[in-house]
Amino acid sequence: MRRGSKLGVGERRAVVVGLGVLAWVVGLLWIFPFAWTVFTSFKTEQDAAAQTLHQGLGFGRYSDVAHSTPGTLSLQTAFMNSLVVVVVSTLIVLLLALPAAYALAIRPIVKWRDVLFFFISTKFLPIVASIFPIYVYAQKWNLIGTRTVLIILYVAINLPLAIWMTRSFFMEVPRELIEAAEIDGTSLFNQLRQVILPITAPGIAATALLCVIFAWNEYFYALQLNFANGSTMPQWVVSNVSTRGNFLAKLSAASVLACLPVVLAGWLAQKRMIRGLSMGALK
Amino acid sequence: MWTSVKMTVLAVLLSLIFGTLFAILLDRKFVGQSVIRTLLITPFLLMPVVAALIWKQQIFSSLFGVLDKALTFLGFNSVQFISDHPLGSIVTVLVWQWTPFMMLIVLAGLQSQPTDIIEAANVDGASSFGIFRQLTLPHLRRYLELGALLGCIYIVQAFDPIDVMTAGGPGSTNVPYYVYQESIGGGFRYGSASAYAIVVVVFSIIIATFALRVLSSLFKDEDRA
Repeated sequence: MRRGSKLGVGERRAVVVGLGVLAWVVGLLWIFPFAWTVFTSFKTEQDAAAQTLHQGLGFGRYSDVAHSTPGTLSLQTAFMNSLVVVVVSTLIVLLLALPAAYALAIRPIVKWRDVLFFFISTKFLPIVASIFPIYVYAQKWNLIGTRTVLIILYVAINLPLAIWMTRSFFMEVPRELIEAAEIDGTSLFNQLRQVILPITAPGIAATALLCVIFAWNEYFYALQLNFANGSTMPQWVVSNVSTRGNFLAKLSAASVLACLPVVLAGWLAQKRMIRGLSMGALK
Repeated sequence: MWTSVKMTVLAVLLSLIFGTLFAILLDRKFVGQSVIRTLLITPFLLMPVVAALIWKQQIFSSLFGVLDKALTFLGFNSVQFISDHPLGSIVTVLVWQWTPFMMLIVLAGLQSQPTDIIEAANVDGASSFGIFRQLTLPHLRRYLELGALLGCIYIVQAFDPIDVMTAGGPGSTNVPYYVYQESIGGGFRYGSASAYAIVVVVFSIIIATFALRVLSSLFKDEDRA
């Protein structure tokens, strides 16, 4: 339920305007570091290093970072790796999460609450605590430096979140609809396809988006288990920091490129994001 | 070990405080409300690595940082933020990224507050501050708890900003980073690294127990509704 001013009665207009202005100031201040980075990415290296603006703005740095020197990690390689890893892992997550959510929400299995909390408890294990055994097994199975290992790990990272989130969306499907479909003799698959999925589609999309965001931004596993050929976008951004010469404008351009897909996606899904972030507890 | 505790507690508390203040600001109608909300959540969407790099190179850097340039312009001496205040620098980045998260959670709490009670209080002539302290805050308590616990779970594991900003320089190595340094980060002392990892797990279990309790209390409410 949306309300306007909660403390509305007897509040003076000046106060209302003042708080609005304050919100604007806070918002602009908070975005400043990133906004400045976007601004810097259009500058020349000399201007960026001196924080001045003598030589105008342009897309030069973007084409610089897109054409890397041979032998280093290129944008194309990193982007393809990230894309494949993110898309495949998110698809697998959805494929596994939808039946699980069905079994937990629509036709609750025995002890569904325990199952639900078992899933989420895996999320509480710090990843550093798990990296060593994972590393040993990855080495044993020759998975180091492959996309496969990241796909497996990102499925594991995102699955609990996805199950909780899709469950909370499935809970909102009106019972009567499912019962009506059952009485009509609709098969389980058709129930899912024709009744449940159309209603929960926006929620599932939001879930997928959140999985994409987390997988796209993941750095630790990608750094530890992948070298050179299997590197993803975060490593590519870091590789733009150089010890020789000015790099600030190029780094800014790389940062903007790497963050753009997720920032845009997040802006679109912001209203539903809260549910995923709170493990489906809040709407 | 202490670094870990200080880092997590500071980052969670500060982002919770900022997040609550921002949520209260955002909960009222004003021109451009959705624009400001969009701007505010953006830092949370950035890659942690990128957020850390932005602050390191763009803001804190004594070579070309904006902050340094502003300080020199105003006649102050330049400060080596990252080498002199490694913990503060990392906490700043964490707070910058996690405030939007807290804000979203508190905002959800504020918006779920029943209006009739507030109206009744208004009719009774309660002051705005009184309403906030006696009605809104108790209502928000569980949301604040949830935010704090989820924040703890994520922030205690912070790795990326440390790796990028100080690479575990003095005063900024938290337990996860230490475990990393001890094992595959170059130490290759797997025994002691594993021991530390177990310590991390034990602490996480303690936090997680509380987190699960809050989560399930929110769920019970949902079932009742």
